[in-house]
Amino acid sequence: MQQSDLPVRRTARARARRRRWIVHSLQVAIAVVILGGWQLGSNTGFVDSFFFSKPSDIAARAYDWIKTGYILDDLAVTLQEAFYAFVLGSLAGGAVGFLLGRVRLLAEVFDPYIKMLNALPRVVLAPIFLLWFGLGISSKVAFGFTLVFFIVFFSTFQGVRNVDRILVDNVRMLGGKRRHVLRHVLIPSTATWIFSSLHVSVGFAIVGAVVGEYLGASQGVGYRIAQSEGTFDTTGVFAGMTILTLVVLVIDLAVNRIERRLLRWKLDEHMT
Amino acid sequence: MTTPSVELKSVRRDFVTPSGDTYPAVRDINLVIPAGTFVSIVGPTGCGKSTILNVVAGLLPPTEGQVMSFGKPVSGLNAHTGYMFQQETLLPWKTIVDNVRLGLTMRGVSSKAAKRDARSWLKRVGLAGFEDRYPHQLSGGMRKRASIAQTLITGPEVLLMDEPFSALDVQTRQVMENELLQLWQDSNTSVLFITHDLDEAIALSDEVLLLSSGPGSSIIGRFDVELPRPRDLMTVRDQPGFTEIYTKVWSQLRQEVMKTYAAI
Repeated sequence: MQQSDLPVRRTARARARRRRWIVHSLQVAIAVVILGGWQLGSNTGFVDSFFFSKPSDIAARAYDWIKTGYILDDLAVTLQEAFYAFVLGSLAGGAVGFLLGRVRLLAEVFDPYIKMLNALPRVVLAPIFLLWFGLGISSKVAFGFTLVFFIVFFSTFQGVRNVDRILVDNVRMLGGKRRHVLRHVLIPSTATWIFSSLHVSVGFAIVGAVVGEYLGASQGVGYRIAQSEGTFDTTGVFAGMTILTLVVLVIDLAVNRIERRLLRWKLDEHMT
Repeated sequence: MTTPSVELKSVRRDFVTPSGDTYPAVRDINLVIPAGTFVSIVGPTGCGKSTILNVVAGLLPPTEGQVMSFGKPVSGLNAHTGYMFQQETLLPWKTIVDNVRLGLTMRGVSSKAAKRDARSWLKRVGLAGFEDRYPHQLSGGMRKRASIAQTLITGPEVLLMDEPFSALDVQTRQVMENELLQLWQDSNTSVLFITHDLDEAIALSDEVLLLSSGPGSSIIGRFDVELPRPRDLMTVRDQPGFTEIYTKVWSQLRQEVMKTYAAI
């Protein structure tokens, strides 16, 4: 707003830019040292390439898998499973969280059951889901669902509970009816909490899909990794991991953008 | 005599503590606000000033007694009133213009007309050019201005204000008080203003009510302020008569403040 602080801000920006450059260089340096050391170690036989493979081999294999399209179908299946798990888990978690957040009696009655289900290590559900839903995509979606559901449920529940009383009173005094309070206060306020759990729930949807595939499937990235592992093909395992990591990174960047867009009212001017 | 905008008749409001005891927050509250007047309630902290406002607004029903507004008993929210809370009440996820037009939008006014109205109100409170900002991008004083616009846009006949300027620095506060008086003089609104600052109360009001220390506070003093209008907050304290009434009210208020601290 003030014009006088512009020069100050400019030098501050230059300093920030220099700092960012230093951080980036160091980040690249770390990658070079680790990957270079690994490559050098396995070339000289210091690192057993049977167990650890080689960065150059892994890169070549990953490239090959992508070029031939070998992994792309699997990737599509994994992402599809993750997507369904995310959407269904979020919808169900959001709806139940909203309901229990609003109706005190329900929250009190269901409290021990929710706690119990949440305490259950979800991975043990994977085998039973395989039995129930088969080797196809539904068992992975069901598994991812149980992971996403609780994250979204708890954020929504907290969100509804933490709605600022005074904002509700103010909207009511301005002439707002119940539906106005819902639309202008409760939903936006809760949405903030849900969005803040977006990263975690997207991540867990993918974890659900991959772990499910790993434990039993006929396709998917997790399945390819398990298959490579079965033939002691460490290069294949690492290649699968690498591809998966890159894809998740891209998704995470996309989530970042969505989040910034939806929560732009929270961002500071200089952050946008 | 015209019907008063607000009338409280022997109002008592009790609260229940978590352990199940009831205690009275305010009792024996009799209060008349003639239409178009500016009335302040002053009292030590924790004396139930906000409770009175909430009762007038209809946010809290009285435990005993009657609340009238323009001759009719209040049940549910009092539709004649606009309430400016002490806390921040702008919705953080709406831009300033969307916040200000909210009251109109909820009454079914078209978005275009509501926006036009909101813009003109923002201009009146000195916020032209800030329409599309979000509340956190404005200073505390600017947010208060936006709140005033948000409250006044629906044209309430009674404005309830709960220490609205207490979080502002002294200079901003005086400017805001001046602007409030300006807006009030241009309208036919009554104001019920809550503050713990006697100076502010006298400078703004036609009548100052003194509330005793809680619990079970009641009104223990009424003072008419007959300083000429329009008043300028920058100079009103230098007027003859200001010090006089200040001393008169303060001698009584001081005893209540001492009682409050003695109780702690």
